[in-house]
Amino acid sequence: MALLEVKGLKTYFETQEGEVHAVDGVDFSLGEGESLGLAGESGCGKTTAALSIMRLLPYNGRIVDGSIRYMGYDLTGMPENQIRGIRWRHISIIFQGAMNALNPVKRVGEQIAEPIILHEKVDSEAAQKRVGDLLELVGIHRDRARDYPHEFSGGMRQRVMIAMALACNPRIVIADEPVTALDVMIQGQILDLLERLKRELGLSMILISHDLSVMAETCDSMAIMYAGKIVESGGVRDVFKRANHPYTKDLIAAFPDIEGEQRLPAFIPGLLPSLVDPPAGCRFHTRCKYAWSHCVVAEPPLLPVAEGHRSACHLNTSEPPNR
Amino acid sequence: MRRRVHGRLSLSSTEGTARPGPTAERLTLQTLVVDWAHNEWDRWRKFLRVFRKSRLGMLGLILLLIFVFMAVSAPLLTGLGLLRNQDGRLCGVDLHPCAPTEANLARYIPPNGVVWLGTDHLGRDIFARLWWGTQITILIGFLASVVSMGLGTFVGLVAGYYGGWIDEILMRITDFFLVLPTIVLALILVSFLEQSGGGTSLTVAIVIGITLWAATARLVRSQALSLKQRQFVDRARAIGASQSRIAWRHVFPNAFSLVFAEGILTIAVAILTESFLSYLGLGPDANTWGKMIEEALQHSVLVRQLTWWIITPGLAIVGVVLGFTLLGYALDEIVNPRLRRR
Repeated sequence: MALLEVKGLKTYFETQEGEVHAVDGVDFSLGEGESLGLAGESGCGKTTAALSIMRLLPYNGRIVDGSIRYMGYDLTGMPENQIRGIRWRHISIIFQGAMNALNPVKRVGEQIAEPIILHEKVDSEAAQKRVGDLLELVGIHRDRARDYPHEFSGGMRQRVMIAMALACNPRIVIADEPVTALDVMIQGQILDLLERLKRELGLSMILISHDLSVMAETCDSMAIMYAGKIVESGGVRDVFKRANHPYTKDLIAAFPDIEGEQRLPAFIPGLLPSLVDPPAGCRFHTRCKYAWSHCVVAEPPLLPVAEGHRSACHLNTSEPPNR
Repeated sequence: MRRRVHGRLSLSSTEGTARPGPTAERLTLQTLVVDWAHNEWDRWRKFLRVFRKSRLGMLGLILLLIFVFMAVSAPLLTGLGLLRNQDGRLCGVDLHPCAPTEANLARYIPPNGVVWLGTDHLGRDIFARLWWGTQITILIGFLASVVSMGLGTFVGLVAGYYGGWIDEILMRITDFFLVLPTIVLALILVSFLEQSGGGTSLTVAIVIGITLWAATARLVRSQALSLKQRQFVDRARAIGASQSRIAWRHVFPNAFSLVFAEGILTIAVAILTESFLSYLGLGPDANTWGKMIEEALQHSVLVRQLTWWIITPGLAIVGVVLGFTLLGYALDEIVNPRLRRR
């Protein structure tokens, strides 16, 4: 059985314009020691899916339907005091933009120690020792626990966030855009670090990013999301080398190729559709160059195209009419 | 120079181990203390560097240092015989303490070489009373400010952080205190407390604190409203912290510097309020500057041209209020993001 199993997850936000269907029927599962990448452009529901797992949605968001099973327990219906025990001890999260996720007026060491003190019955000396160990684990000298966040560089703050995520030995770490605000050198270092920690501590990881190259480097499997739905999922190699869905193909084409011919990367015309009133049928039909009448009417199911590789596109099941 | 070892970028030291082992380097208590003192001193110096640029702030600080010196040194100077005791007794021509029945020769003496600021209707030395009065005046202002900050911070933080109907109720109560004239409220509260044996310095300080908290509550609420949107609050929620822990351990420390600056300003207002209450005869039964002015006016100093009696305590009040105000605004300018010029 998978460690974490998400089935038919629907998370909606109540806004003045109406109900935003940020996540609209998403399935994925994460095995022990596996790492899963969630990719897609901004606003397609990646972060909302992650926050739903942690039950950390903002006040106007709620899980409408579906189940999130962690080791057999359903997290969606769990009362607040129980979910508080799951957070960090079992599932922890590295937030998008570490710059702002640290409290500016508290010492870094105190902040890393906070989950330890909250969740485990340890004295402060033991907690401080653990903080030092955690900092060394992410490659920061333990003396710096006494510094304030503004005395760290962006990359180091991100390391601090990673150390904090590991504070209570969680089994699953959700990394929400862990390297987005960093330059490429530091991105490499942070990804190496995550990779190493995953290997050494046997962590399962969900990596959220819009950067496909980050996924390719760190994940075993990945899921491509578009407008609140998963359009393609499978092993990293399958998705990259044998991309099936037109959206995935477009995303990959939008990356410059180092070895190939020199050309401007392609872009996908149009914008992400409104999630208040998503288009009927396939949600990508408004921007898809293969779309035909069928795509506007019927929603394509996520069907296997190969062993462990699934895609939601009508092209796989029916012939488009000749143009 | 800071003795800090910067984090290494290489990860080789922990490569290949599932859990980090003990470090080679041991921290002794001594290095810990030295380092801590070093860091604190460093931060303090950074603050001073910014503060020193504010001329008015420095002026306020100097003024206050003078008053603090007066407050602290009063018992000492009395012991040395340079000042008279707390009620500034100075009776008879030879300046001996007088018995109540004795005809008082030392009343209404204008300032001269012996009694520098003159004497009052009981023959008490105004200079000594002024010097001693610093203590109680500043103390009442400080206490009132602490009460006011405590109440204001609590109400503002709870209202701003929890929001919803709690916010509504607390803010309507705050509005009530905000629109009610401070003095009127203080008059009612003091006379109410006086009936139940009040009128001491402590009750007056508490009353003043109760009348002044509303503005602070508004300030803290606005800070809490903006701070709770910050991501570190989400993170605190994510690690499993309870609501009250987030409010007090995460949101409040970020608003503290602002509350501190506001507190300094409130001391000034509290001292003014205390003087005014004393002037109306509702002050504490202690030797405050406001009390001196009240007594002076009761003896119609203006008609009898005993101006020395009233000018010096008046100037003292102006001085200390000015000092706290200047210091408060200078601090506010440093810590308040809206006024910051850096």
